[in-house]
Amino acid sequence: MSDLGKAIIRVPKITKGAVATIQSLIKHPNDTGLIKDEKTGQIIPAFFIQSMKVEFEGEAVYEMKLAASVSKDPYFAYSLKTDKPGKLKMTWTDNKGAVYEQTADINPA
Amino acid sequence: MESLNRRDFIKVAGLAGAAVALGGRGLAFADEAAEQKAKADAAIKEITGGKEAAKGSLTLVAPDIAENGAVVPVSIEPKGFTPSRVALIVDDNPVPLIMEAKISGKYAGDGAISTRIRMRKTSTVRAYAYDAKGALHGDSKTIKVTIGGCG
Repeated sequence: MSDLGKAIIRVPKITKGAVATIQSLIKHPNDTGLIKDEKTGQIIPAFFIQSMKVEFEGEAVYEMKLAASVSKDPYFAYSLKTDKPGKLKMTWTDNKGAVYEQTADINPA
Repeated sequence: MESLNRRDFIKVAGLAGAAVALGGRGLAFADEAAEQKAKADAAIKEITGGKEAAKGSLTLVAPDIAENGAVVPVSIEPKGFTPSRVALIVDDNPVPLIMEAKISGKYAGDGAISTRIRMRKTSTVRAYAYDAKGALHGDSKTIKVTIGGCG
């Protein structure tokens, strides 16, 4: 669980003004609240990412509302287009209210 | 009238019992299916507002068969427009509306989004997108699930 709240953001080589695909993987169990623990027989309570936001240079680009049925360690890929370098920021919130963020530098060539 | 002998009575009672049990089960399944359909319809209505989506301008990229329902890769790819809002619905999931995204600003490119989702069982999966003018685009496909992934 020590990885909880971490994310990997993979930025490809970006050409100025061309559409690039940013890939991201957020470490989170994303429990649906419908699965039983095999050892204890108890339902594992729902614990999942409810919202995720992508900003570039402080401007919102994607704002997602999510259900628990996104797979464990949620993966998102999305398009980004810019001709200037800048900071990409991802912010996500889980249903227990924890807010996490991670940034990546975008340097189009 | 001759009464049934014990053996016959057991046979008849057993059959009747089985029929009741099966009937009850059938009804429960029908109820569940209707309830699920109502949930899916509500999610679709929430997104479309009852509008018919234009076809051919949005592509839902997903496998025909997902061996593992816990990890099903899906992509929503608009053709020739950048959506202002997209949504993803799995008809037969406990919560059909999986994702809804608002897309804004000048950095979104073509607004394509990919993710990985859980699917309880074989289901119709629907993608919707609104363009900047407010027109609705959609695509759907049935994904066959071999092993369910919702629990």
